[in-house]
Amino acid sequence: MARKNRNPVGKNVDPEAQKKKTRTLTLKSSDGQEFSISESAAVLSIAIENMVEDDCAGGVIPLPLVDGGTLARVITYLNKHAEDGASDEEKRKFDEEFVSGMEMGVLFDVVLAANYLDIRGLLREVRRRIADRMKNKSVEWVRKTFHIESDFTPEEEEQMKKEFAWAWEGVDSDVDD
Amino acid sequence: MGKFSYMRLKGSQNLRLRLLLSTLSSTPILIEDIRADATWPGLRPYEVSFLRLLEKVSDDCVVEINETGTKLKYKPGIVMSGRHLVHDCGTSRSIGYFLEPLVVLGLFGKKPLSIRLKGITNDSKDPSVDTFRSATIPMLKQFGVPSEGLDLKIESRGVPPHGGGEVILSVPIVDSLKAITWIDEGMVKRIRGFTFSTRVSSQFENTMIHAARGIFNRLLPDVHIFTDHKAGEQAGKSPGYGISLYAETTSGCVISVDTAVSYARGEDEGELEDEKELSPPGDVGEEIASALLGEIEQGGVVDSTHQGLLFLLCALCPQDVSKVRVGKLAPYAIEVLRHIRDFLGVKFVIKPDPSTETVILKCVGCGLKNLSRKYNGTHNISGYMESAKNGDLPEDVILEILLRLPVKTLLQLKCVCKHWYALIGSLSFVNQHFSQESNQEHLLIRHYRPDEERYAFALYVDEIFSGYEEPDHLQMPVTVAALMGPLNGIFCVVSLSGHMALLNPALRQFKPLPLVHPYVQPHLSSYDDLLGFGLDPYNGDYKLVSIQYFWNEEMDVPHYPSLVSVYNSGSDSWRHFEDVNLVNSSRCAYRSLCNTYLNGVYYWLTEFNDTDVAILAFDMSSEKFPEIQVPDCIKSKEGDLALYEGSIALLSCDLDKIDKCVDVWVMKKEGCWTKILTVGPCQDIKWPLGFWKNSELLLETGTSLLTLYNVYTQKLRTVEARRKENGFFIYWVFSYKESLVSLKGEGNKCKLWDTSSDLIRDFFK
Repeated sequence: MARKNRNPVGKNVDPEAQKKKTRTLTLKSSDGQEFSISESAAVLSIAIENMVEDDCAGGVIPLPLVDGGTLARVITYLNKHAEDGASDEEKRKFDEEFVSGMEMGVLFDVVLAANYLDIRGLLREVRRRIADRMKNKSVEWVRKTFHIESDFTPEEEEQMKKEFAWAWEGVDSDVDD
Repeated sequence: MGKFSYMRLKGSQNLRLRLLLSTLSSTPILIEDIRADATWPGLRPYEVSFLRLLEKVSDDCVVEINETGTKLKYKPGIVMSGRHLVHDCGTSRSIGYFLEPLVVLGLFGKKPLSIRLKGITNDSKDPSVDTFRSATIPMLKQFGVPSEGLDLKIESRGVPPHGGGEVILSVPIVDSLKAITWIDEGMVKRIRGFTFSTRVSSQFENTMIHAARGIFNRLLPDVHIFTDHKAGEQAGKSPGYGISLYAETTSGCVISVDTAVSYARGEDEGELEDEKELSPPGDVGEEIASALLGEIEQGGVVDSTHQGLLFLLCALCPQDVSKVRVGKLAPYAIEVLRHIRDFLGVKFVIKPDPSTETVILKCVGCGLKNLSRKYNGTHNISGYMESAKNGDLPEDVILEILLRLPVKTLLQLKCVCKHWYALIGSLSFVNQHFSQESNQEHLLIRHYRPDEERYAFALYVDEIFSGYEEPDHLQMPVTVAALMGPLNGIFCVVSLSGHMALLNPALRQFKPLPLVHPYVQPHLSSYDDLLGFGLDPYNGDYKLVSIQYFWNEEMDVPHYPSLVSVYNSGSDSWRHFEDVNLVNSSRCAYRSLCNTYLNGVYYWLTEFNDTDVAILAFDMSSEKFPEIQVPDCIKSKEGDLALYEGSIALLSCDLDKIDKCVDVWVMKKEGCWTKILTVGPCQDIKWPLGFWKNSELLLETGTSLLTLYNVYTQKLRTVEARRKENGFFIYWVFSYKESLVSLKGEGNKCKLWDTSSDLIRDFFK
């Protein structure tokens, strides 16, 4: 039982899409840097799309929660994904390389920006990367990386370790790879 | 503050909504002219009952009604909620009328709510309790309401005029809701439903299902309607029957409709209508199926009865944009929008989408916060602000990251802080983690290792079966007689001596079950048994059914009927009964190679006199044994049952032929079979084992190799080369996924699964 397709993907036939490609928006980071980006790339971020739709985007869009370095990275990602010729395979490869070189701190910045700007694909990719890094790491490493302080007493912690003692076997050393 | 300014309102309309919004926004209201000119002036019994309910769940609320009941003063208090509350909803409106406002209030209460509501569970006017379970609860989850503690349990049913139904509603508390963008309704993926009958023949249900299916079957295959026949005290005080259907879409929307048929209430306002004849069940089934199609056709992420609640929830969100798509605005929904504007000051931007005839609504929420929550400290699960303080990332991002981690890592990370401990242990996390894409299915097989002369379980690490591990925690002693499952990552293990246990290998939890101890007359001896492992779809309990076949030693004949024993994990006990439908015990039933459990029903292939083949099923919730016909051309039991794309499949093969074929039949609906493919002829096939990820058929070949036949590409690939001389059925094959589902229930302890321990050794002795 097919329901009506409400979001046709056929971008190529849409004159509106053509317009979007030529129109550019300016994004302003928290430290005042300005970046130009085509509208078709910018609207991959649902948050920016909403702003554009609601006509809140008068000239410059300020993004007070994203710093310049992170915004530059996010824009690289958006441009690649808005590229016309890029096949899915290419994009996947790009995503892989895009996140592979990043340190944990950078990944956190990017995930925060992607979450704030609501860029689903990037969010998914970075989350996966962070999760991969966390596999088999010690509790101390996770606390340090996420800046979380334990609110358990040592006795409570000991008790919990005892409950699933086997899960503590074979944990990696705390080196960030 | 001694003085309040009352918001002055007139008329009887939308009283329930006004009271709800008044409570949420702490605005006292004064309503005049309540049915002042009507024959029966003043408040209706159900409205008074709703006011009583408000008094029960809140502190300090003041209700004043004048003598004629035409004027009402209401000063809202603080919603306290609490456990073990009871409220009689009366019989003038159904429980559905009370549920909608109550659940919203519960979310913003001081303590989690659990309340027993008595009255009418199903009628033709208000959404039924089934609809609340199937559509309203999922919708609340979209707004970030944790599924833990959110439940509606139907204890008994009651229809008009006398009611007699009872339900228990539990609502967790939240700090605030989560703003949503919900405009993609997706495609309909499946249709589910429930029928019920109280104090009438259960045949009514079958007729309704048959009629409804007649409409759906032309449109989509995945339709399953459960029956719920109530008898005795659970059936309430009046006769009736009804049906509730819902469609789930690929984007997680639920569109629902329901109705019920029973005699009208005597003192009802609608008494002016002539006493109508009650609709026959066939018409009801057709009507409601058409109504569901109508709702789907309308579009939107919710059906028309849920529009009002949807808007209300959007308006209560934090100060963030929510965007939703609905079909044609229902009159009630429009009233809700008006009242939201008046009470909460939230205005919606309404934009029609002419291409689909739907409407997109946008609003910025009023940012209602649950102020009572701040006293609850760090234990709360959705303490968003709390975690933002002691970590770098917002709650939802952390959640999504944690969901991708393996069980072992998560068990360690429970130690990170109390917040993570609560998060990882919560029921919603456990369920989401299990169904997460990254939690992949792995092929688990039992194979023979000739080098060590023993059996071992091998877990394949990837999609291409490039290598396998033999993890300790998945191993079993040689003396295991059967391994059933897994369901939610949980197996049922049976030892040679008949001991049974549930096992979650990922958590290394092992829970021995009580022994089956039915009373058996001394002259009978059990000569065979049949087991099935499944879930009760109504309450999620694990159920194990065992049918024991007896031989009468004195007369040297088989004894009828066979004894049925059902284990229920909720009560952790066995129940025994004899089922007259199982009279023909000389019909041989075979245990399937894979766990042929599907949507609350377990299936076995049976055979009688070597020619008459049929399927015996066990319904986990009704505990009945229906019998299902197989395709006419299947004359001998040479094959097995399996699961394929959400249906039962019959793998039939003729072992006598030299060039063997495997025919795959699929049962799209009960007793209706389609042959979807034939594998072979191929000399080498020994036995079909089941399907792998709905795309490949697993086969054991003559040389004891495990082979996968791709249904789409018709290509074969070989997995395993362990060989046993003269081996027969050396493979047990499972599709295994790790799960955090704990076997620890209230009061029952489980043991550590360690195959080298004495405990486990004794169990399997």
